Amino acid sequence: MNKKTASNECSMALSGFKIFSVIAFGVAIILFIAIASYKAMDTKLSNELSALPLPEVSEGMRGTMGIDKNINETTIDNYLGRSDAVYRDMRMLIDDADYKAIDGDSYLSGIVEGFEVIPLPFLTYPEGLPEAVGKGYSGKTLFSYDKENDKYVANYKESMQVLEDIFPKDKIIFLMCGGGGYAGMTKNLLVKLGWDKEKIYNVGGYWYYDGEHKTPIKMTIDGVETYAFWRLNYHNIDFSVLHEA
Amino acid sequence: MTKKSERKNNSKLIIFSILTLVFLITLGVVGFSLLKNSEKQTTSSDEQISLNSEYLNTDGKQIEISKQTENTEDFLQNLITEEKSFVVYASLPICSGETAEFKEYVLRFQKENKISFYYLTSDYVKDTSIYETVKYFPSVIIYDKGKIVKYLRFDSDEDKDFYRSYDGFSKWFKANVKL
Repeated sequence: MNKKTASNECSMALSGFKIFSVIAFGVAIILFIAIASYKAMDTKLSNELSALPLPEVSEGMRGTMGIDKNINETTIDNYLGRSDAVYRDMRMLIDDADYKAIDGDSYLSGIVEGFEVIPLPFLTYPEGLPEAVGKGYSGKTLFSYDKENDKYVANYKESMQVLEDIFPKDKIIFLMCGGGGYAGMTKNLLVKLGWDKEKIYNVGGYWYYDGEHKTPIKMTIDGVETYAFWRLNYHNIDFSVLHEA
Repeated sequence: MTKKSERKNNSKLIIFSILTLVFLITLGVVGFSLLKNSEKQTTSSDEQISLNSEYLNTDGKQIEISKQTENTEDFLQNLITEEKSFVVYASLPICSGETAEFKEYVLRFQKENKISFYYLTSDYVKDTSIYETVKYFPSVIIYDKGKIVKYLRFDSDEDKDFYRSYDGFSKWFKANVKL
């Protein structure tokens, strides 16, 4: 073997080694990225779908409204954004009941991010409103409450379908309102109509919420008090297209 | 004295000592619990707060703090610094349920007993020092010499009856405040 051949062989081996190094480095990077992404996805998924405590009613008067002991205004931030859940706020945009008379606001003034609005009074008339707020909404509703038999009766052929579309039975349902009352009444309605009570949480009232995910609706623009309802995801029920039962 | 009788005497002495010790411990426990009980009774009658006279024999209206001043916390802080004894009604609108009429009970009680409460709506209460102690509303908060000494707990089973009726609220208030 002469000197030139040996040097050629040496440089070939060197360039082979270089190619191998580059490929190995590339594979290592791809592997690293793949593992990191998998890990990140896995963590996200496990956060998203972590097991929930079973619904448990709070102590005191909060409990009489059915507000949950574990998942409520102070903890709901830990349960937002789950793919296995729906989030519903049961207030009207402008309530016919005069909540100003009892120091409240008849306008929906703020909401927790991710909650979609479906007013309870469109599902059924709220029971036991304080005298001071007046009669409240008296328009059409999907269901009527039959007090004698303690059951809800559908007012339209499509009532159940509408309800199932808004509150999917296969999902966990988080309910909120202003103080917890409308949310509690909604849970009662759903459970009486066959929903699984262990999948529905009365999270309580926006008035108590102090978390990181507030979406303010009440605001002042050029000195004028305004309600930014365009920020809300709102479920409208067009009763004119429904067929009376 | 034989060894046997000496041992017998020793055992008698030990038994006597143990019995004396047991007797003394029992006496101590009984005495302590009696003392504690009487102390409790004294405290419970002492626990009734005397409000400053300016809040008694009034028209029984609520003094809305947010209408007295632009800075609710400063107003409250002044009362605290001046070591006043007063009552705050911290409101929250309850849309339904058994607490719906609670505010009416409080107003009626004030009117019938000619007593004035300060009054704060939920919009303001979160900006005050009250919120460090009281988290759920509505509530009635009693200050004695500038300090919160009693308040109604909306999240406590023990306080349920005080929210549910006029008599319940009246009973709670009269147990805590001298009228």
